[in-house]
Amino acid sequence: MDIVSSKNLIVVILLGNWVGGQVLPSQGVQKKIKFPEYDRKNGRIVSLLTGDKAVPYNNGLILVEGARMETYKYEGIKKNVDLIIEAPACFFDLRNRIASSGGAMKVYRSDGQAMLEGRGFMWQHNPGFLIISNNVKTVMNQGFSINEK
Amino acid sequence: MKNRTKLVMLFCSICLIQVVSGVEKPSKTDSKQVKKTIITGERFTFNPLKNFATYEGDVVVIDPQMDLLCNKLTIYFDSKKEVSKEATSLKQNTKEGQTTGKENVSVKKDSKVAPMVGLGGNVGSIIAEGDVEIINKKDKTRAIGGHAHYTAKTEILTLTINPKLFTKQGVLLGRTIIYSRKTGELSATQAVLESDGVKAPQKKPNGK
Repeated sequence: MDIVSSKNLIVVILLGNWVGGQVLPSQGVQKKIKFPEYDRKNGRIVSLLTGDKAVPYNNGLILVEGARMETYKYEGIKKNVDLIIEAPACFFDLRNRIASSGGAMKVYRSDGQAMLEGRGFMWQHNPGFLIISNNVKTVMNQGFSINEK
Repeated sequence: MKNRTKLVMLFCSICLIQVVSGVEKPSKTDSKQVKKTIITGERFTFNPLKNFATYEGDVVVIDPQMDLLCNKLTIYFDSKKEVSKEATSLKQNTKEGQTTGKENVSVKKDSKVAPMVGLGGNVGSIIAEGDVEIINKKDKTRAIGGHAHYTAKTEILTLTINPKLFTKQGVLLGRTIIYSRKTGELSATQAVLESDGVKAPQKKPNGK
């Protein structure tokens, strides 16, 4: 009788652990998250996705609220911020390192010389690739006339 | 009664002054805004590895010099290799800094490539496709065609696929219409000038 009850207890504990281990959208919320991406050759950081809040979903997807992504370029050893992508919310695919959203987004240069906005985007970390799917608008302060001074 | 009239007059004059001072004047910020270039389209693709950015679907470019309309606009940027070649050739020509070669070259290469080349970086060439329309804001000329290719190095714009140039003199038709931004020279191959419905074949339609 004791063996049966202890078996039941183990089953209950295992079941409890399994249920507890399941990640539901409402669970596992993390605040102030950071997802850095490194160059595999030299180990330098190439981009950083930050967010106010991250909610894990199925299939390795994470809903990032208040998302901001920075990509970097290097001048020798000096790190410069290249692109800044901002979105109120976006999904981040941990496996494929892809950030995407159907909502509004904004991209701009760190020096403020150019800004791009639209609705719906996809950014792939490696290789770097950006697609904005709707209502794209680019504003360039330098001008489009290449040799204009 | 007189006081009342005076009061009404005073009120009216105050209102008038307010209206006059409230009229918008072209400020410095407005003149700055004019220098901006705005590109709108339905879809945007940026590939930093292959050095190109594409706008698709009702693309409109509003620039201080010209307006451009087309279905697809592709901007190719100078690749890092080309830039690094330029940097090395520059170095070979000058032969001043004879410190360790490679590191200096890489620094020059990176410093030439502006951050985020997709927006206002080192543009190599621009290709506009599908119902291309270019409006020159200076002389109000308008050109249309199926394809336009601009090379930044030479500053030459080539318009092909039934190109037409609408000027004050008439409409210039040709197989290709070539416009040099450097010299302002305009040339066309197999050109025909239509003025007021009368066609006049041209042998050398060079110059404006």
